[in-house]
Amino acid sequence: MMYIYKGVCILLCILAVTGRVTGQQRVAAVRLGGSVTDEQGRPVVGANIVAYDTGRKPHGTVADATGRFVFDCPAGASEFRVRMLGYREQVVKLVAGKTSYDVRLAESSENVDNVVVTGYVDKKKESYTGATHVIRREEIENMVHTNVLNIIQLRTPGFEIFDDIANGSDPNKIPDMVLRGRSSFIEGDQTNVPLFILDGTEVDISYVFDMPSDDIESISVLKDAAATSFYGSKAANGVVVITTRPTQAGRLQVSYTGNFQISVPDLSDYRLLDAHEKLEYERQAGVYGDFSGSSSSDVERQKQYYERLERANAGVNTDWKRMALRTGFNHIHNLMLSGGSQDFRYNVSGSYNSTTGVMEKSDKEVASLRINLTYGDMNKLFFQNITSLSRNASDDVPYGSFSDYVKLNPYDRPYNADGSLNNDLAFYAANPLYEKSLSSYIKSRSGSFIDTFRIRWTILSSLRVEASFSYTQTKSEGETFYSPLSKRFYDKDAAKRGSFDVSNGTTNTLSGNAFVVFNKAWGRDNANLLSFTAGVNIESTQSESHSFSALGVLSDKLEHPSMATGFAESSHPGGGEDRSRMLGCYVNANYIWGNRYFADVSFRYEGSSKFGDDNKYAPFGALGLGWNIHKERFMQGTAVSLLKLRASIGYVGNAGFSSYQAQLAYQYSSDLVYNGGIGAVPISMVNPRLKWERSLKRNFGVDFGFWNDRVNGSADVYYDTTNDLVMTIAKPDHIGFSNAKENLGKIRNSGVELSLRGNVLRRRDSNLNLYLNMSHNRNRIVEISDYLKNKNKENEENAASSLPAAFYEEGESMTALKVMRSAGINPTNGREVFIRRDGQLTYEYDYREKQVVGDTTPKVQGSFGFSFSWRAFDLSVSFAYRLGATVYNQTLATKVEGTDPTANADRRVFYDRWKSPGDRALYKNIASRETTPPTDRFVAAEYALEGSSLKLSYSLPDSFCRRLHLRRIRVAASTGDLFNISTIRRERGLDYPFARVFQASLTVNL
Amino acid sequence: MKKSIIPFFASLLSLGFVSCDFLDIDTPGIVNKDKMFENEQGFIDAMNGVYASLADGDLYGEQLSFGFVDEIAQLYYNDYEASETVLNRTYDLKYRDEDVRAKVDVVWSQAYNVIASVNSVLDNAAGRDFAILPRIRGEALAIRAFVHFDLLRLFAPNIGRGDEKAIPYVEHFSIDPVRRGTVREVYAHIVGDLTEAYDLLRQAEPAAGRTPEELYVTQYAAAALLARVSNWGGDRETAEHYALEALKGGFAFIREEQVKNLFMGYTAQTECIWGLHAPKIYLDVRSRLYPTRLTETFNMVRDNYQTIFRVSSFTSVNNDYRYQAYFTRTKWEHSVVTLTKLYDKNYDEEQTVPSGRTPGINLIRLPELCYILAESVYDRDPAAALDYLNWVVTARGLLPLEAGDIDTSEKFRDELINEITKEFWGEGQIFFTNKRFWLAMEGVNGKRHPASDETYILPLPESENSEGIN
Repeated sequence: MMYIYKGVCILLCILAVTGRVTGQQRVAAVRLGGSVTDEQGRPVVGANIVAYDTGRKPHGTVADATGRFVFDCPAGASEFRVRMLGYREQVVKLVAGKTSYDVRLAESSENVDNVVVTGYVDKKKESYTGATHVIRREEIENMVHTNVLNIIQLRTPGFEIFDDIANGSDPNKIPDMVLRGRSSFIEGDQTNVPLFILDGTEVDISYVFDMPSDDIESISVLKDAAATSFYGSKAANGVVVITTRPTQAGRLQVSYTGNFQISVPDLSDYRLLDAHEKLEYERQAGVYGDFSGSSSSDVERQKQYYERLERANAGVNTDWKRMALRTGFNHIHNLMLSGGSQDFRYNVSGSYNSTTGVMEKSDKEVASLRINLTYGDMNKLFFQNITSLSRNASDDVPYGSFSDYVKLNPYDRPYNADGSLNNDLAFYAANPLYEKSLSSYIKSRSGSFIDTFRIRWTILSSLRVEASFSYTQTKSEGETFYSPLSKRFYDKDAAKRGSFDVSNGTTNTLSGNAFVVFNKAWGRDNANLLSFTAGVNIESTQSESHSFSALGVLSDKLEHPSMATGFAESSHPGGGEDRSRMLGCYVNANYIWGNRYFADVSFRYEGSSKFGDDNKYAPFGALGLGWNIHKERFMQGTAVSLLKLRASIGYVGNAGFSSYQAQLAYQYSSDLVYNGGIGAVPISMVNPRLKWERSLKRNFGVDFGFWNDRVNGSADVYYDTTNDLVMTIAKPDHIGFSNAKENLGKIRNSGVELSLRGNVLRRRDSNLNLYLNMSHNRNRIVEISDYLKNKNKENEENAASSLPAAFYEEGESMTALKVMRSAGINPTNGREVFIRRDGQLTYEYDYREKQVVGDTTPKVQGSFGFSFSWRAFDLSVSFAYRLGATVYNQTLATKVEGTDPTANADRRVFYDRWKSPGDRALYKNIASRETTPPTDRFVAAEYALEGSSLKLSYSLPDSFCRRLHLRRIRVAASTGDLFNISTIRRERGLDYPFARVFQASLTVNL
Repeated sequence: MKKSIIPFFASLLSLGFVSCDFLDIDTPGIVNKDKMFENEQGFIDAMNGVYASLADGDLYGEQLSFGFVDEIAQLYYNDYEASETVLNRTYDLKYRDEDVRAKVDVVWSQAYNVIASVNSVLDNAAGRDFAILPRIRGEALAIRAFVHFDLLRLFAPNIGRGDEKAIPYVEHFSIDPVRRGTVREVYAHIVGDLTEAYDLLRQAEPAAGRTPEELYVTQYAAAALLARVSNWGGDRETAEHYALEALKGGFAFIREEQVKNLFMGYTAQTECIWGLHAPKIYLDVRSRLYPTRLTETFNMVRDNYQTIFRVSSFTSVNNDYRYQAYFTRTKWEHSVVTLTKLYDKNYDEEQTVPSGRTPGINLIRLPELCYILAESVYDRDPAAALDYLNWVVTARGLLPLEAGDIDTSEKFRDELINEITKEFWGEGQIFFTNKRFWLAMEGVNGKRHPASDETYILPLPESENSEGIN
């Protein structure tokens, strides 16, 4: 709602500036009264009533608990305004002699938003030329989610979080994501992650991951070059702008939200063998020989078999995969206070989130406090200060991964009859419950402090200056302890068992930003507007870390590094320090002609300490054009309420690379101690010709709305090219370094996005809204270096694993899947027959014969859902879908074929593998233990539907609330990640299982 | 209104231009080049970096001393595993095997990495004027020549095939590749750099803090290196001249009994002309030459070591102290002879250095000068050559050789090679000596490595074949 509020202020400002108070009847100072109600007739408590006198001084009051107000309307005022967050502002014309006004405010929630928050200057949506997607507070409230990224993914077409099959719903794992496809080769982490801006301050993705969603007012996702002027060098992967709840004048308002979640491990994708099946599989795979041998080892094996069979017959069927799991209970509380006078307002919010993961010993606890203070008048001098403090404590699983449990055999008992751990598992497997019983831990703690101070000074009616200054500090600590009793120290001296790894780090960022805005409107109805913005921004980041490792903890009970007897041999303290700076200036001009045609031009010039001496500064620019067709005379009176065409093109950059890659720098190191002095060597080969990596982004879009925006949406087509890709290029070693950074390579992302919303049913008691998001992205490598080509070869040659290796090839997608084609299993011998590129059949696998069979990125993906309200009930449902991805089924490759018969496996191993000549089986000979190389037998197109969120809420009747002296009480029951239907049957959550979430929530407003 | 805008923009723009320096920053531990070389200390630190990098295990800290280059000199064997381990493939000179080649490639890339560091010092020394700079330049030039010389000896044929392509001689810190020079061209560059280094160091002011002297390239070290290089190049006169120049450094032999304590992983006292400080070398020595149990990476001394040392001729007055200083017989699963020449158990356990000693690696020592001199004068004056050889031989506790022992050039050569083998075991000189004389080597398990390019010329890394530079 903040953008609405801001937009209103800007509009007000513009209107006020031009001083168009004409022809209205003037009245003398008079006492006015009345009431403010919403459309249902309920009082709107805390609504602002304001009128301006001829000196433009505001006079006003606030509606009381019954929605009533009385105030002295100044002489010279011809109207007064009623404002309340979440409602459309109402301008009430004064009628001479009338002193009582009953004002009805319409809720603004179903409006097409009229402001785009860019994090710097808010843009009128009507004249904004960029592609953007806004998620509003109401949408966030109606969803069940585990973190903010989840929300963005479900609501934004083109924002993709990769399905993490390995880490499931690990509460401490930040997922990987892209916006509109990968634009950079993966060299290190996070080169494809969008930029996150919180209230104008750049924040780390981990902050967003942990932040409470109750604090969020809106999320704007800026996808194209129009974001250039503000975030030029960092905007290559898109920008996500998050705005927190605004301050609000009026008496103290208190609201509390509590969410109580139960998360239950979702093991429905696992179909493991039971004790009898497993034993039979082992027998058929030849683990026990052919039962005819009589040597002592044969007899021994047969004895083992019958002993296990006896156990299975006796009913032992251990479900190992459940042994490390539990039901997680999460509770999330948020308490928000707001209020203040017209001049001084505040909003304070405190949150606490405690999450217990579904695997034992994995927990997360986040506490945060945010204080937003504003002072002054937006139209004169205005100050704002937002302070956020947060603390995060998380514990990770120190006893191995979920897969250790999955592979154990069901005919083994976890505990002996006397309750002690059974350490005599079949095939000498280690009992993972042992490690779990130790006191090992992996802890991390982090804290952050963000302070943003903004000042806005309206010098002249058409000219204002804004500046902001922010300071961010993040501290993190990590401590890993492995008990001396752990099996990992099995082969070490007793004195060197047990270890501590301790690290800590601090990052400080200071950034400042100042700009001037000039607006000039003229013509009839002020239909022409020129707005001009110019500014500078500056940023300095410094980070520091320390670490050490210690060995030799003599007891399982000694859980502090000071108990370690020494450091690892020849180790020394670790850590590092890094600094970088950035400086930029920008201009932006926006011209609107006749409210119909508009143009947006931005230019930015920016320098970074990370770039080469010769190319320290880089220019970025963007041009946007738009046409409000619905404002044309010929469209008047039609059903079309909004039809806007917009196009933008521009350059954005990517500075997510390490410092010092382009200037000769020396690094001192404790490894270079020489005869009492410390030495330094050049860090890397310098490329003085290195240029900024830049993306050329082109976007064409249309926004539309029919029947008063009851059906509305937008569609975008984009075509982005990343040029001068900064890549590591192999060099002949004799230059002293095996590689150097060069600008080489080119990637193209093109695609379509569609977002549709419809208010299909609007009755007195009921309301039904539908939404649909859809996106399609096509990624192509246009050009790559020899280095990467060689890397492909290396990857493929070394691909001993059964999973396809990543490869990069010109003309293919970065996520293309390349495997050898297969003709299936030969029924006579159970062996796989491959098809070579020339079509010939062979038993021999050859990586050179691999072919591209598809792309692991879905062809189309998105989400859809509805929200339905009936009287005091609200029901909202969202689904996510992925269509047409080509997926390599890892379960088939590792759990059905390529299995080790001593470990538990997927049921298909037993039922679908070839057993005897003549079997027309899908999978190889059951006795074969060889690893199956990547083949298209395990490749399939995936069509998946996820039930992401379902929420039913109920607002208690007003009469009841009033009796409790509360303004509003709302209760809700919901569930998240309810189901996952896929055309591919594979195990999901390999190292950490997925979980279903059931939630009950309570919201109380005071 | 307009008036108020103009000064505002003016100040914005000026902020923009003034702030160019704002982006020039550095962090502790990382220093940009202008700041690095703004004073003498920067050059000293950069040279410390060079010396310390030379002492790294990938170069003289292991591979080019007791590691790879001694393994291919057929001094060791390993029978821990019957299968073909990397070490066994190394003994068998399978340079093109994937794993062995990786070891060769690392030597190449680390050597050129040090050369790049040296070149960075030299490039930045140009145009600056500090009192210590002539000395720094001298040291840097000598090291550049020294490292190139060992690469030449590993990756190129001998000087006799001087017109064949050898290695690139890199003289600047630059991203641009350098063409491979011929053997003779590279030799000329090496001699040129060493001569310039010698002149600079001879004239340089003594520098404070460069003690002990043997840890840095001195004029005597430069002269000794010139003697080594000229001797390899067949330039007898120059070799003799510079060997004699080097002798003026006052180096002296340790006598007999003390030979037992001469090495032990320390620089060789008064015999060391140039060595490197390497306080952690004991870790690699221990794992490679003297582990606590048999491993597949353990270099066990071949059983012909007694033949080489002519143990059967030992008497109470003819006793090679090197033999006692070098080897220890240990009994594990079977009897194993370990090379303990470079290991001091006391230092490993107590981390205390005996007074006056420096843990480190010897790069060039006095005996080599004697061998070079003997070789240089042999054709002209065999008696003088005998004296030079006996200078070493008697210092090691043996009876002097007689004229009859070296009366033919073959006998002289065999005697010389036997002496060099005994003296430099574990110091990386034996392979180069065998290669210089182009001799077949007796491999382990009855293999014989003929004197051929396959035996003596290591393949260049694949990376050198890319980009069409050669």
